[in-house]
Amino acid sequence: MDVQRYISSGIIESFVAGLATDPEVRDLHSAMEQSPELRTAVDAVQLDMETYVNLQSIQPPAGVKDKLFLQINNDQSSEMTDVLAAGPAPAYEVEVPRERKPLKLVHPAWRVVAAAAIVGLIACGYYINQQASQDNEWKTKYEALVNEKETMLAEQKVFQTRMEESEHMLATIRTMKMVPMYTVTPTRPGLLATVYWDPKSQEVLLTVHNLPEPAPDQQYQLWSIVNGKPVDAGVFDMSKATGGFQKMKAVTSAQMFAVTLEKKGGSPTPTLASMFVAGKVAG
Amino acid sequence: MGTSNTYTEIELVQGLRARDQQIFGYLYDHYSPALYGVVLKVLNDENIASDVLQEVFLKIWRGIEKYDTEKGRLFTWMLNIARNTAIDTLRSKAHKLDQKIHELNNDVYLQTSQLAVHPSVDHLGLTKVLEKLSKEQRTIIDLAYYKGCTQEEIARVLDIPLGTVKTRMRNAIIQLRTILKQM
Repeated sequence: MDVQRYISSGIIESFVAGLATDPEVRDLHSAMEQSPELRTAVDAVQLDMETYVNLQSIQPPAGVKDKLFLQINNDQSSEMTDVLAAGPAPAYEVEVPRERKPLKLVHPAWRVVAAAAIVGLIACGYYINQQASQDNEWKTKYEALVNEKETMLAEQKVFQTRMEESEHMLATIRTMKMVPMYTVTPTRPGLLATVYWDPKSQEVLLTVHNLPEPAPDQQYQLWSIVNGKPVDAGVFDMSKATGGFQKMKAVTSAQMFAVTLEKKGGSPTPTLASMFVAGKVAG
Repeated sequence: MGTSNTYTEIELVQGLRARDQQIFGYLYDHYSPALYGVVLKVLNDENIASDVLQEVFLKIWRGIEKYDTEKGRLFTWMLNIARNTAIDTLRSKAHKLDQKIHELNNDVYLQTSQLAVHPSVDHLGLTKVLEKLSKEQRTIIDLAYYKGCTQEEIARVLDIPLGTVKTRMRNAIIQLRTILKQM
């Protein structure tokens, strides 16, 4: 290898100044492995660069060391710092005004719960930091923090389960047939609900975009229409079907889906006069 | 904490790997001014720089297993972590190029009040070095090292052909080394 060529090319200086590109760095590293002479040359330049950097030392603010040690001690007793590090992002998300999305998979309340728990935890951690000099106080607060952490982890588990359900649902929906159901009577315009149906797994999900709130003794009921005959696909509550997806009874075949308003608990046959929305299965 | 002790790099690395907090305290006391100097000069914001410095030491504490003694000195490894973390933060703040240059011109080191607050630092040495480097030489080194600028960015800022950036950098560093040898 021509060591002199490396030395005079300026690559060593580029490297120590942080200017060299990734391929150049890799090339120089492998060349250094082959040539102790080159390595010595690079080390000498590096050492001088570090002297220059060292000359520009500044004493950091006093509090940093305490915070650092508090953090590594928490680190060793739990993985809480990872949770903390992941904390501010969801909290921030909650503050951003969000436009209403038709496919809301996770109920917003869960974000608020998670954010509140994280904010609480951070606040508690900060408080502990303030009180670090007073041993007793410290201990009590630490225990409180551990408790809070456990509560949070439990909440996180619930949250995670919801997420997994949602992710599963999202993955499923991609392969499902989408059946929009529109208003069937001119007296009730602008109604819309959508059925997602997987003929293979027979799974049916329902989401309501616009249906009037039923009377307390009434419930909406979904029907699959097979060869002109209605088959019960279950009743649903507005709270779940408008906020996200309501899982309905399995449907083996259907040319159409329809929603009627029935007495609470549903009816064996639909009341056709109170059919609100209906839609044809495409294909 | 036995700050009067001194440790070799190997003892430091072994101590860190053994999760010895006394060693970590020593490491902090000993190296935090150098690393904070880098971080603050990259970011030019004391609040952000303190947070980043804490992050840097956490990376050192948690990542000591990744440090390979064969590849270079511990200080070099730590400096790289400090520089990379700070520059990543700088990029995430989406600093524009001209803002970086503006910051270099308003360097904290040029403000005497700042220097007075930190009497432990060797200003005399720094002043001597800076006096003997030309402004362009200093700028080219600092843009690359402290602002993470690419060759293209430096060519644009200094208004020089891309092909001469490396040569200028080489000359600047050679000059810097000559000055350091005379000190």
